[in-house]
Amino acid sequence: MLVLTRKRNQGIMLGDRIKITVLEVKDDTVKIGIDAPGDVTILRSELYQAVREENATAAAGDGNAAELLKDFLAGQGEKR
Amino acid sequence: MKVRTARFGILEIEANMIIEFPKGIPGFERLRRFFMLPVEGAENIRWLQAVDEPAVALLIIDPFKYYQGYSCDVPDQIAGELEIKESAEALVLTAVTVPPDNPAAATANLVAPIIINTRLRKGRQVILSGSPYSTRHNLFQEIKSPAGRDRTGKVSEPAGDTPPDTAKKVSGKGGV
Repeated sequence: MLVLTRKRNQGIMLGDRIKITVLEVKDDTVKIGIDAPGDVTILRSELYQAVREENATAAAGDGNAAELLKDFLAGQGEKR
Repeated sequence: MKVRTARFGILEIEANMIIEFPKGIPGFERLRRFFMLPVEGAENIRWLQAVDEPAVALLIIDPFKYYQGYSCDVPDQIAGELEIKESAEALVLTAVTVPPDNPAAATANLVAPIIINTRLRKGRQVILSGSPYSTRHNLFQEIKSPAGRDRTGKVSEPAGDTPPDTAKKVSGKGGV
């Protein structure tokens, strides 16, 4: 990992289209501004990680998952 | 072609059933080819099975059938990537996680819908940025009490000092 030290209002260019600026540093929180073209997806990394983990958990279910779900849905239908 | 799967044995599928995921899906970035398998007796549930990895299959549902008011705004660059020309050719699905011992606790990943261009059979799992959804929405809780109906009744009674907006916090843990 490349590590750079920046001060407030200093920035970093990623390629020639993406600019990241440190806007504010307060206690353990950093406020970051990002200028990027619309086709660049920007996500908090923990959300991306959460989706990866959820996919892995979902894919770990066995073949019975569909049956369980189906039976439960049928039960729900009767109750309604 | 024959496809080996961990759950369903060896399946014979047609080449035109294969859906290309040029970027894979998060967690399975190397798996580029999937196909959908119906679940007998449950038309709203399907499996999305990886062609090149027998163990990887996700249960998927149509979120609009289970979550009233679900909306997903497909970003322009994703629609462009999938070459979606009209909304009718876009299929929106969400993966469901079913705990093996407790189907009542099944959850749907509403923050990361799987969008498929049905015309070109090209797909992508999109992570919605700035949406009110999370990776785990209880499937059955929300079926029983869709947003806007009686689930909020108890809290929204003018009962003393209960802040009125507590009732509106459904299960959106996330956003970005």
